[in-house]
Amino acid sequence: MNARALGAGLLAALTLGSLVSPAPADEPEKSPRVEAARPVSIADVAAGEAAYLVIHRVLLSPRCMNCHPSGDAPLHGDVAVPHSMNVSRKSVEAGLVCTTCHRSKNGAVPHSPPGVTPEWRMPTRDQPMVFQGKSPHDLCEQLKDPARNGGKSLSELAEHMGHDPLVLWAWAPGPGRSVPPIPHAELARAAETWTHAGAPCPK
Amino acid sequence: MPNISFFVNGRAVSIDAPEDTPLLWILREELGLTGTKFGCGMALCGACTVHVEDLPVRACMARLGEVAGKRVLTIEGLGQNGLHPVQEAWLEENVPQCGYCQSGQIMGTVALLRKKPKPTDEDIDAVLSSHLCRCGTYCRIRRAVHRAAEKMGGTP
Amino acid sequence: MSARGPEATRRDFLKVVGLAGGTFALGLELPGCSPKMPMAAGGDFAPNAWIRITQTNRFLFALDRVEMGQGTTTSHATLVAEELDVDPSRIEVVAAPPDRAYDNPELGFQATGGSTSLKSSFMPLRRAGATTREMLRRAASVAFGAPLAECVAADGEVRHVPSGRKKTYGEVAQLASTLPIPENVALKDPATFRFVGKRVNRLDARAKVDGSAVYGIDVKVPHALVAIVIRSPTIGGKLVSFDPGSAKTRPGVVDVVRVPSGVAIVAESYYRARAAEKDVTCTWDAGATMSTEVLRKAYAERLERSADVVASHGSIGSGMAKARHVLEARYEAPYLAHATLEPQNTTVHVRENDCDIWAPTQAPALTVEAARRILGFSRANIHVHTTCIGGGFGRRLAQDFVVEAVHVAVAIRALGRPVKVVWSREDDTTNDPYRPMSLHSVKGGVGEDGKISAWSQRVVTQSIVGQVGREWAPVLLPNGAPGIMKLAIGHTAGALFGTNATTDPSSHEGVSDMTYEAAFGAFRVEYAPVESGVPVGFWRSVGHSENAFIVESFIDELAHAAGRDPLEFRLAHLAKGSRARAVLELAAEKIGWKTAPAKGIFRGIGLTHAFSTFCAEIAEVAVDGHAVSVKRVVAAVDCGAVVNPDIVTAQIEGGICFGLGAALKQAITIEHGRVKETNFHQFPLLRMNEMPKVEVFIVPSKEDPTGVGEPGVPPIAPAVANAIFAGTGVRLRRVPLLPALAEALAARSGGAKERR
Repeated sequence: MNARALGAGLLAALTLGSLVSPAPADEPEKSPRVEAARPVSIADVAAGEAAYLVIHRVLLSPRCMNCHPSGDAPLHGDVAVPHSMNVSRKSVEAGLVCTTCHRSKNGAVPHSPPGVTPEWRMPTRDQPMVFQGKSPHDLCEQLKDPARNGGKSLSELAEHMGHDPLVLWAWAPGPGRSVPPIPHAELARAAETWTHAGAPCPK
Repeated sequence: MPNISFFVNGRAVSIDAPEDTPLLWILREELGLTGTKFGCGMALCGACTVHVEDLPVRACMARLGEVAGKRVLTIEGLGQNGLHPVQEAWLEENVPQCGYCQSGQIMGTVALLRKKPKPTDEDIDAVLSSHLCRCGTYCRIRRAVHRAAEKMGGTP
Repeated sequence: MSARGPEATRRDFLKVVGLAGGTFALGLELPGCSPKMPMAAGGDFAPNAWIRITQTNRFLFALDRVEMGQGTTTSHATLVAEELDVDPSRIEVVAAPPDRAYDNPELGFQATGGSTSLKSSFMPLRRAGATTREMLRRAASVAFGAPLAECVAADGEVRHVPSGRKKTYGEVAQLASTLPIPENVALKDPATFRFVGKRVNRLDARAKVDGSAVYGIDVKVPHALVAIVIRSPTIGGKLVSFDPGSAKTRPGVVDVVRVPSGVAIVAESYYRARAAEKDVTCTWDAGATMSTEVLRKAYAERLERSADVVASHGSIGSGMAKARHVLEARYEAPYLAHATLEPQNTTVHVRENDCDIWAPTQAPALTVEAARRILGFSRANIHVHTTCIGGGFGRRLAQDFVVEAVHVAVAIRALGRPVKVVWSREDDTTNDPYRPMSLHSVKGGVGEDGKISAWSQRVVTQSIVGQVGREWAPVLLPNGAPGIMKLAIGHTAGALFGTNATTDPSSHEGVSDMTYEAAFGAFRVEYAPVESGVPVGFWRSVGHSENAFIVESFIDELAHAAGRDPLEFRLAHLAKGSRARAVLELAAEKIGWKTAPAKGIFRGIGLTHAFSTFCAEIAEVAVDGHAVSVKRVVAAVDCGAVVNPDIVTAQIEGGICFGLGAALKQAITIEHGRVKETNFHQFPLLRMNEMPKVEVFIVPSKEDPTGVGEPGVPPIAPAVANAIFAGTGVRLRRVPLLPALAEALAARSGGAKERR
């Protein structure tokens, strides 16, 4: 059930870095996070676009997408049904936090709530980081935009995809849950390739 | 294995049990706090809801090791100076039938009112739909939540 | 109603409740449902099995209909309080121990079920209270040395009216206990009732909101062990062998033992036992191999074979011939689990010649019998303590969980320690005596006059009574089998009793006696029992739980076929002035049937007469594309004279919730002998966001009171199905409705896809 959500959360964490305090992109202290300009070849761009498509497949896998839904309710399972307990961002705002059930480890049996440290969560209402239903181009643009990704620089994005426990969770989602279609190491490489190429987005 | 210490209802306790033991069974069997109920064992019913550091937690999913050094509040500790207004509202609306889910419903409601002192029906559904009642007391729970909010005068 | 008054069972409370000494001697308390009983003291006044007044002016009442949420604590104490003339809040309720003095005259033994509690206790408890009060008044007359006519007993006091002298009931208790028990004491005129018929707050609520109520699973017996049992993964599978592996070396694990139902891991605590589960390897035989899909086919075949006629009038052939519209349909209902929120459990302490059993049982008499058959002790040496019950719904009439716990206790008897056997949710869901699956074929005709000219129905299902009769017979037989159980057991369990048995009324209740049948030109109901090997049991509202769905849906089909308004069509088949008609009219008036509902909202009706109570429910369902949700339900109920209107309302609300969860979402399915659903993700209960607004209206009545624990359940499924039909044009003939609707809508939009 929440394995999906977990996956989604992972991705979210991956892409968002800190969801808790996204800074507006136009704040001056943000500017140092912009990558230094660096020559990028046409081949790099092509490789970067291809790498993004790898990343995209992961982002839209249930483990990642379920916590990045188009609505306010996280999704369950591999069929993307809304959380069966009427759980949504409204629940969190009203005192039912994700960690009420999603604790530090996955539940031991299928359909028990997945969990991970540091913390299970969804993107905030202000920066919902929707993956569900997004085209590769649109999601790519969203992913690299610090105004929409929780203020992450490209290198922070790569770091997030490569090492964040919430991201890594997707490949260890607990019993009964599918994992993303690509091994994590491949995602990490794709993230490096993409960000090194200046994060080009497919048309 | 070293004992794990935490606070239950304001009292310091120290438990010698594996750290992955569900908090639920520590409360019920080691500490005798049976007001926290076992319903499903996988966070599907909410009957085992307690508070850890003022946030609601399903005690069947929380492991003993996770609460080391933390403050745990159970139904027994809720109204230490008489009944909590939520409990009073429950009595006034004659909510319980079999009563088995009500500890969890009440703990969930206290957490709700802390964040939403004047909850709408939608707020109530957003939090308490994660708590099952087999007897079907939902109509009354909803009324009792509103009543409790009134009693508490909108102060979280 | 039983004519048995307290005088007929001059069994004093002291002696009977004194048997509970096993508990009290251990110094245990069972708050909430059974507060600690003070040790019997000389001079207490206990004129019957239910009431004891102490010299310290405490009013103790032994509740012999278990409290499982349905409100017996409050309603029954109120009856006693009313006639005693004390405030109900002053009554201390204790759970009655097993004793024939507490037999339920409607069932024939000490049990709580069939919505019989008020019906069976209304007069006996009033008589008990009134007789007690009269004796207190007579004691006052002696104490004051005044003529009886000058003495009154009211509001917890006896008074000598002319002098104004007064004493508490407790002060004259000892004196009262020496007086003869009068017969035929006058009861209060209902017009003077102070508590009966009014809202009295639940007496059991306090312990249920502060966490102090002790359910079976909470019982703390000193030195008790805790056990879990690993059971066969298939229905009826038997253990071939087992290997405890390293389980016994785990800290806290005491033993791993074989019991008839499987392998018990006995430990110092539940979590220690559960942690060792994976260490134990069990080998099972094949067990059962049935599957729901195969059973459905078998049921369909059974439908074509012979069946017993269980109700009939008129000629179906000529009735159908006369009809202008003839419809034929098949309906299905699945197995369902009880899913009490408190999983099954029992604590047992077996000693040399006697034992204590703490159990959330609906039938203490059956609990004693279950233990007696294993232990061979005399009934008097089996001390059963009924705890708070975390939901009953018929589940805890079955004693499988008690039997298993007794076996575990026997297996570890040498340790000399009590043991509590606790089931997990998975254990509970996969080892339930399920509500039986059923298949119905039904054919009806409507004549030119808009009336049903013929109704013919065949019911294929499993007999519950046929199965449980074996368990119940030894308890029933000593007493004969009075009341409804005589009816029920007399037939299907006939082989058992050596009588001619052909039917189980609980299988076709609500069909063979449907509310409208007298108005039909011809009527025939046939019953075709089947055996499936799936354990079945009484599930809140029993046969009505599925039969109302079929009858009330099909009558809706006939109404639509005849172009009639579903309300008017039903009313045309209900006698003027009848109670069934009155509840339907009341519900229709309150929901404003004559006024169209808001856009996107559709209405449906369900009406049943079950357990002697009449209940109409009209549902308002929102239809938005493929999504349906139940927004509002108006219910009208006639349960005779009302003892506590708030509890009646609560039971109807709860019945609607219970019935709606089943109607929309629930089914137990079996694959290769295994129950597929294990926990609430697969057997989903209704959640708060799915709960409609419910308005309950009670028909004022002076008839004898009847039960409300079950009658709220049956009408909601058809009410919702009929509303879905009104909103979508899809007639759902199978529950649960949501998957059936999704399937129907997908099939319907098959053509639409091509257009896209």
